[in-house]
Amino acid sequence: MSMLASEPVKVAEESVFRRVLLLIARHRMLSVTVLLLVFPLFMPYTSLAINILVLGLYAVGFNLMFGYAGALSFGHAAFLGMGAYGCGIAFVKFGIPWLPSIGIGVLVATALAFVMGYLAIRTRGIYFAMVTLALSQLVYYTVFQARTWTGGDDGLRGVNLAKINLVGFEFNFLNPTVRYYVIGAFVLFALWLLSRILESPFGAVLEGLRENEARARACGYDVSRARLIAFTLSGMFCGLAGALYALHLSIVPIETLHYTMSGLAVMMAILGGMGTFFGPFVGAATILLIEDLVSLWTVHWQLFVGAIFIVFVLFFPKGIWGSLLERLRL
Amino acid sequence: MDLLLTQLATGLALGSIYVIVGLGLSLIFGMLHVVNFAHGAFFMVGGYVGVFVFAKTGNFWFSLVAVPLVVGVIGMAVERVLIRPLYGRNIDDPLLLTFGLSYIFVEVIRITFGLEGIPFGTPRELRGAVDIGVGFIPLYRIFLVALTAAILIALWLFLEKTSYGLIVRAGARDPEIVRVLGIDISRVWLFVFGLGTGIAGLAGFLSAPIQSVNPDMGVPVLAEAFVVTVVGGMGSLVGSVVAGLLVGVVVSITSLFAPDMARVSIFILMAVVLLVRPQGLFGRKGAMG
Amino acid sequence: MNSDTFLETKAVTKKFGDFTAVRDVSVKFKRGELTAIIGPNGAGKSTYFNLLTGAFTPTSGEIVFNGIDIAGQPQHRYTHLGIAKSFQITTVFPYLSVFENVRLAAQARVVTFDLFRPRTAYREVSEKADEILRRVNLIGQRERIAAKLSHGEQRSLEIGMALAADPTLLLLDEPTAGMSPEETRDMIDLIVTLSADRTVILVEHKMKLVMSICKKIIVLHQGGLLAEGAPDDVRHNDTVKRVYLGQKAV
Repeated sequence: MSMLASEPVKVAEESVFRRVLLLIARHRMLSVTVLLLVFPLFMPYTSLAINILVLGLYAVGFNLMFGYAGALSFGHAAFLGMGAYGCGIAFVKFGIPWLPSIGIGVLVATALAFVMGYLAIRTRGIYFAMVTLALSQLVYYTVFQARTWTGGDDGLRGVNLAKINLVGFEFNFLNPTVRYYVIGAFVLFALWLLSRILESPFGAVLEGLRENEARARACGYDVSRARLIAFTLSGMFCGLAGALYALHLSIVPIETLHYTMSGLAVMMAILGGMGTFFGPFVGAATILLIEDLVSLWTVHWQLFVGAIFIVFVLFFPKGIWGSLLERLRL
Repeated sequence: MDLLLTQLATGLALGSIYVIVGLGLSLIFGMLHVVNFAHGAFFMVGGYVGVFVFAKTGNFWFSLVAVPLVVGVIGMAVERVLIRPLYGRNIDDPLLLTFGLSYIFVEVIRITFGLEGIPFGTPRELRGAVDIGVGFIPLYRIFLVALTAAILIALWLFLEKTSYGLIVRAGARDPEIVRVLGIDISRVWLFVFGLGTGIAGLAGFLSAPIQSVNPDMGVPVLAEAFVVTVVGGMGSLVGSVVAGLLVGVVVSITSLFAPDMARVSIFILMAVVLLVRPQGLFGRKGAMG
Repeated sequence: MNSDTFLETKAVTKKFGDFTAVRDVSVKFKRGELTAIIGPNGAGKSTYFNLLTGAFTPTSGEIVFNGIDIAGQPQHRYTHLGIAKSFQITTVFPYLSVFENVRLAAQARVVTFDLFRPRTAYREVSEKADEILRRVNLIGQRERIAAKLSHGEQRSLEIGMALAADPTLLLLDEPTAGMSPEETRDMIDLIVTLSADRTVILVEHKMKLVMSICKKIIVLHQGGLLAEGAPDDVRHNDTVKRVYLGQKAV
């Protein structure tokens, strides 16, 4: 603090900035609610805001496993994708209403996460990334082949949701603003749930697992089981993101299941700040805004994202939000 | 029956590519404890370098030598500049870095050679088919098996019979020992990374006549190379060879009976191995951390 | 089995490949008896200790605790059986607070998979953590990050974490390693206090220390059991003198 004393103007500025950030970090749910309400105002168009919301939730789900339980997965596209296909197939092929369809998507993704987790948890450390990647490729090729149900490489078309009834009112889901706030409500609910989990005794076990696995085991915790549950929960959040993604896009592209999508979760979490509550959203916003801006003048926007990612791995492994928190010692 | 046997031979040829790719990955991991997520990208770059050199020189054999050298040098530059600062940090960091790097490789290739793939015909010297008693097999596939065998023998001779190979093996077991002997271990790591990526590039070029080169060809290869190392046992070179051939055979036999299942089959193979023997066929128990 | 035998190893052997680190060691540990395992470097002390804590599974032989063979049980089960350990190299949860370190250790026997109630709702766990912090003299450091504690404080924290599991058997691997003389004295006092109401077994290098506080000494040499008995018996054992104590005046 003494260093700042020579710059009185900056002190005032910083302390306000600091106080705001402190408030955000302390009152997570309140800040999330406020942020969600006003977020579209700052975005170039509402659809982008929805993308950030949905993929942000996807990164949040991924971060539960990577940032909190300390295991790096390269297969989370499988859960986003199965959430999307589960919801889409229920809605399109079985004519099930949208709300239960979302539930089905979440269920399918959660079940898949449990099975994949059961296999992948048998290996440890660096193996985990490889096994999850390979298993998600299995899901990708399976869906790719099952054309009758999934539409193969054309994607699952016709997830058209126009009118929804909620608490007695009818809303036009085609209106981007309505769509934003409906999806936002789901995301808010998911974040509240996550917040509860992180505060729970199980959340404490996850912290211990990440900090020192051997010690957690010596304390008497069944580490493999805790990891499996974390992985399953992580798949559940990603599945919800996937189901919302399907309704938002009104199509499920096969790319939802692609390796690149798994990689996107990793990038968003690292860029934003792994193991932090807001980091994944910061990361999602950053990457999607870069894509939006850079692709105006070149198709090679991934070159920028890749380069920025490498810079972060090398010099700011705590990510944007994580580094900010550290600077302010929150 | 004859059909099955020819398909088996085809499987071995396909497996040869897996062997080479998996070997490079295993070598780098066994030595540096880095999971090279850019391995597929190096494979892809190798394909492009080969096609480019061949277009300029028209000489397949020259291209065959040039590819591993060029890709190996790129690999060494990557190790020296980007990966070295990460040793001693979180074990995930080099993995993440190579992952980011693969994006850059893919985009640079797209910018230079375009988004579409480039077809590459089998070189004239290796066209035609050979009767192996049970049926005809394309000459190129036999060449693949033979070349893989030659690479394996050369690698084995290098690791077992040369003093530098001894250093590499000792370093894989315990870097401290090598350091105590006064050998600069970082130079060994540099070399091994170059070697591993170089043969990944070679594999990319070798697969060009089979699948044509395109910027996205690295992704499935990366996943398949992971299957090979998980099935064979991480860091085990013998495991890579056996698992690579096994994967090749499984793919080609499945495509005979259920073509739709061919791509899926190898991942099912991996799932079964994980259930029955999580450390891999040749992996040591407890050596999976 | 003798009724006051609490823990017993029956012909326990541990091999690493061709190397036999521990060979045929049969020892009975009595309930409530402060016991030390000693031996020259490479005697197999650490391996033997790790067999007792469940970190290693014996190649052959039995480890009988309270009448049941526990060899080969998964590590986390040991805590629930009432066995706790401290590591040779200090390991805590570095970026959690001192309080949270102990709270997390105390939580293990109460709840793991509650995903919904706030952790603060388990008041008995928090209260126990505070009680233990008072016991190991760390209550003043309650909110500090564990990584910022001094070496001696971290070792105390570790013992506090081991205590949080309410162990009937406490295993300590070189509890005073790297400590200043003052810290060592505090640690010895703590160990003696703790051994009043539970069985404590420790591995230790410092001969004077173990001779003065332990009731029983077990001497390992080249992986096998060389001698066991009261400190005075061991001190005057000729074989022990020859291979081990002879090197240094005790």
